[in-house]
Amino acid sequence: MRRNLWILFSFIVILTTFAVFIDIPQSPFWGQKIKALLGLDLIGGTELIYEADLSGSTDKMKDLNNLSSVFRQRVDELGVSEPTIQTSGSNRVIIELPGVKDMNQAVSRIGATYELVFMQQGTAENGVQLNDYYDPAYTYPGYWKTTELTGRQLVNAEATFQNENQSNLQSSPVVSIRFDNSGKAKFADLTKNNLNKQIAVVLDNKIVTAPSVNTEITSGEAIITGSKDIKEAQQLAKRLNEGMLPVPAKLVAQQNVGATLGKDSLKMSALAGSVGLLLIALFMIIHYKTSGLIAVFALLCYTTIALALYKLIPVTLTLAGIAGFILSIGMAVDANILIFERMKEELIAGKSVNLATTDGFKRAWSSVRDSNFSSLITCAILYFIAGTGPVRGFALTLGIGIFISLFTAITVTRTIMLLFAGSGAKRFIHV
Amino acid sequence: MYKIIRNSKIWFILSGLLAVVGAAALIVFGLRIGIDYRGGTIMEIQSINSNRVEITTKSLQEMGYSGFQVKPSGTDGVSIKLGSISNDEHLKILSTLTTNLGDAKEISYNNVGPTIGKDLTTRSIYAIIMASIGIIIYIAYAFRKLPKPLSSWKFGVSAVIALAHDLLITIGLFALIGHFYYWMEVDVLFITALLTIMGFSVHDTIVVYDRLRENFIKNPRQDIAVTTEESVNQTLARSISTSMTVVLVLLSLLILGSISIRHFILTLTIGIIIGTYSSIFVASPLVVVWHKKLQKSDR
Repeated sequence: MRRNLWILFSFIVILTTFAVFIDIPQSPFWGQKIKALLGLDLIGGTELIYEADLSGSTDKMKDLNNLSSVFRQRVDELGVSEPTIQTSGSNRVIIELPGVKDMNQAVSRIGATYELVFMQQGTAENGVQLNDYYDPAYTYPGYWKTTELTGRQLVNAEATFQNENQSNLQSSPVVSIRFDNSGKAKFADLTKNNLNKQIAVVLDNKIVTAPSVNTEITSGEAIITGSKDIKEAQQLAKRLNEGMLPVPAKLVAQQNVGATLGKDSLKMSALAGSVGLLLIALFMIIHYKTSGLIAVFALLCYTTIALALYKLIPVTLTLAGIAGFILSIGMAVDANILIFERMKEELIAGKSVNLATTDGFKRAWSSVRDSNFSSLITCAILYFIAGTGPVRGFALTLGIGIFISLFTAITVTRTIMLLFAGSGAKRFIHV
Repeated sequence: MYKIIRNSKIWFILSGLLAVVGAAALIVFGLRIGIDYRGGTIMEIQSINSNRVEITTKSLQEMGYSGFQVKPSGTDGVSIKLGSISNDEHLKILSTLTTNLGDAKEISYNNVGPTIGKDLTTRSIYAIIMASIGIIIYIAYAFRKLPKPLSSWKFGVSAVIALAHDLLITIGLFALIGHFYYWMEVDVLFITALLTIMGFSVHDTIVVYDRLRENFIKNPRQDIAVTTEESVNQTLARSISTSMTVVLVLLSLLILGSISIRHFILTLTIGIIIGTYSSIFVASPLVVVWHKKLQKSDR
């Protein structure tokens, strides 16, 4: 029995030590930093919400995902580190750009309507110069002018393999594309007029690919060769798919937070959290003496483990999220209070310290469980239903906090108290 | 032993008064709805121009805006609140202000379109309804094994009445505060606070009810008023202590923490204090009064 307690105790110590190493910015073990993810309200940055007009869409999910990946492509070009781009609900895309101060540049770069067009060679008078899609530094030679053919007429684009001739076993990756009926005629005209010339597939005013026309194509189906490997062909097919149906998107909400504002908030929250922790420690020790001290130790275990978990999962910490964590510190000792009060009653009833400890934990458990469960219900509802950024952050930190605190407040405290109660040190146990 | 149950009339009158005042404040003043729900724009501009508020107001009027608010914020800032605008309009305002103030710098900008606000409103209402149902089901489940003649639905309904009482008083109080202080807005964090209060307030009630059940099983022939009085007194210290630790951290957040979530923390603090009060002084006396009334009518 005591041996088990010591094993449990060692486990707790190892777990907490491990958590401390994750918490501190520069761990001596794995050298590199495990960074905490901070929300926009703390590090500053820009949040944009776009609403897609999917009224003319046949496959809303696909179009929204395409829109989202186009946004990602554009954000990547802005050079933002760790952006998040996610679809929300049935028709929205939320873009978070940490550290981006110039919101207006971001809006103009990200928000332009995109459309896939097929272009043919033009002159300086009727055409424009275009850059490469993958390498914006590269400008294609010559000028390009639009044709009547756009992504609207494209119905399918997929990466596949093609055998160049039957005797050759080696196959090369290609992208096969197919047009609808109106596109078929337009594509036939385009290929007829541009025989042995390059045409360009242009997305976002950048050339995705510029194949040469070898023959007039009347079937409305074509193959784009020249991809180095299947990966590149898949990339190309993806770009074409993105441009098939231009989905108009409207900026419906935007938010920009200065970095200094966020930094101050972070410092203030950290101070408030430390003071809160200290006040609780004082309260517990004054109220419950040595038992209170053990509860404070459990609370410290809780704090380090919770913070480590937030880092590992990772949970994006917003201002509200940090408030949720600090609130959970206040709730974490509640289980201890319920247990200690119960122990008091058991001791008054004349039980020995050892028995009072065991029974105190056993009998307080139902009320500890029931009372925490109601908070978990509201956390779940906040996370899944009310869920916007700050609310989710709050619900997640509080919810995770309640779970871990159930472990620390009960297992950690009980193990230590039983170790005391079963030894000569039991006279130190007061509640 | 404190005479909490015996004096339940006093608490009922007090709670009734508070609830009436809360409802009145809500009807008379209404709530200050934030841009999260209504849609709109908040711009924080920093400028050392000493006439910054006047100049900003005048600039916006000249640009043809109406129904906006300009307030000083911090030592060298102004906070502008207006309807939902496009990014082009935003840029125009910014450049006009830069010209007129001489040194306008945008600290933060927040714009919420009307569709987003509408969507959030629906989701928030849905969340409150779901949370209420979830908690009622949970209470019914937690007290499914009550010995006769106690009935679990009486416990459940009493707990829900206490909960509604907490929410009504908290919301009413914030209608009152919102009437005088512009930062006290109903935004998505306010709703979050209300749901958190619901979760936590039930927690205290459950601790008292749990004890009442235990004592009733031990001594079923004793008058329910006496049993409840004992139970409330036995759990009084822990009810207060558990709320106290939460209020302690909330107070330190309120005093030392970031000002941008002050309304959120204040809502939580007040809601949790009222919730603790109601679980001791409303939820348990209600069960007794109800039980006694039924006993009388049985005879």
